Amino acid sequence: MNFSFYCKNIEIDRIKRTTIKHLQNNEKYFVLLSEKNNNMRKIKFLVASLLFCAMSYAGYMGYERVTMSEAERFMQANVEALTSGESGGGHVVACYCKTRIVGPNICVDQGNGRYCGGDPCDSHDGNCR
Amino acid sequence: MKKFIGIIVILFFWGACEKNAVIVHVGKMCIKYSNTEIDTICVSLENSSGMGNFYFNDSIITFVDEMNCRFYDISLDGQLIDSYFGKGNGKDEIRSLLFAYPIENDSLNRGIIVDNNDIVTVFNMKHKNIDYSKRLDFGWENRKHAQYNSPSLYNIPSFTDFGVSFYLKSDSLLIFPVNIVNRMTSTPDRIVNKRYKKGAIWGKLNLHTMKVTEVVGKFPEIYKEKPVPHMEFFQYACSNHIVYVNHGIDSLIYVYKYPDELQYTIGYECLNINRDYTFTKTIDYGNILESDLQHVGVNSGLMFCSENNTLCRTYVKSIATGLSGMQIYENNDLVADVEMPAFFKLLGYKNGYYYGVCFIPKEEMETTNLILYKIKFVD
Repeated sequence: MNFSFYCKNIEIDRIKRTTIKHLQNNEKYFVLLSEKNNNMRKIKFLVASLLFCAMSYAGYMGYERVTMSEAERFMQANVEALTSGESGGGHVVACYCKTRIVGPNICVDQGNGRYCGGDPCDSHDGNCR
Repeated sequence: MKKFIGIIVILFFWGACEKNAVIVHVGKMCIKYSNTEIDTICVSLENSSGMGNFYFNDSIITFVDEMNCRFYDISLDGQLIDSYFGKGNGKDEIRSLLFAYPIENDSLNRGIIVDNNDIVTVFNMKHKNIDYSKRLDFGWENRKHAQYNSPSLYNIPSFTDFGVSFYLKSDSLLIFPVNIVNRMTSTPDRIVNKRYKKGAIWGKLNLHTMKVTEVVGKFPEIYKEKPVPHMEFFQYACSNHIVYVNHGIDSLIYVYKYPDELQYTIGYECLNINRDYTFTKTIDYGNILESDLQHVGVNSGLMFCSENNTLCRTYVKSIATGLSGMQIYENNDLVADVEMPAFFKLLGYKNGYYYGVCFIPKEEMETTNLILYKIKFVD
């Protein structure tokens, strides 16, 4: 047997085994990387969805639109503007009941009770409707 | 990976911040006084309607008659000293009146009169004259898209039977309690969670322009857990930069560094008080309130007496009967919780005695009798 040929073959075999080993490792590396990328994508999608939901909820709760109700517009049309003695004028007085323990209920401007009926609060001091 | 962890950490802290902070409760129950010595003084007033409010200033008790707009000054031993103002459009006359109270810490001795139209009159208690009148401006005309931090959603308190306190924050800035005007919110027939998270309880009033510049303060946790939108009134007392706040339905007294930096809570439940309120998110503009007032009790007053360094709370055990009580706190400890005469209102403290009134005067044919109390707490 030719010794140099034997050594060369052994060397070739070693190179082949090393190359195969490297190839196998790279394949494993690419497989793992691919799986990792998929998982990361799922997690990112989940987090983004959560953030979107949270922002939507915050936006819904945070924004309040105040509009006059139809009833309020109707009442305002029947209420007399009374600002005698006041500079600037134009304030529309809207009389609503003010509940009391001592004495009868009275009517006040923008009270939190029932509508008093359109009379100016100034002269309307009892028997709220 | 690092970005992911960072996002998770941010979300965690954001969620944690939404949780309620731990509130420390201080003070013990160390009853020192279990009895009282009460002197009753009856003061007769002719031509008085008997409807109005009382206040205590500079050792004088003043009865403000809301019908004839007349003020009656009474000494601590029950003598009528003076009566002034009156109903009218002339100088030093008042066109109409809802209530009048002093500005508690005002060196200029001024008081505030409020009427049904939200017209505020500033008067001088010492000289007994009217300074000026102007309508309160909450900015209601510009309330579109208003948030709970906007004054345009608020008005003077809807329930003022137990009194209104005014304090000066600076030379021209007045602090006063406010209530949300339900029909001005976006949900006038029900309350939303945001009401008690973002809602305010005080207004800051510029005394020159009569414009409410800001609303501050916050509701206590009890309203978030047990909403009672028809009973959002409260009493408060200031001592230096500390504000003691007691809401009508709550057993706790909140101690803030003004305006809403909660330091701790104190207080023990009032004896035999009826707390059977209607918990509801519905706003019905009167029926639920009137129904509850037939049987519930409420806290009716809070006062800090600097002379003896005590914090006093009064309460009505049941509005139907008028049975009342009073608690005294010394250094955050409860030292007294005793019964008081029916519909009792504490007015002040002087030289070892607490002074109060029955806030419903006794009316006879042509005379109104004011009932004053001089009280000493004993062991």
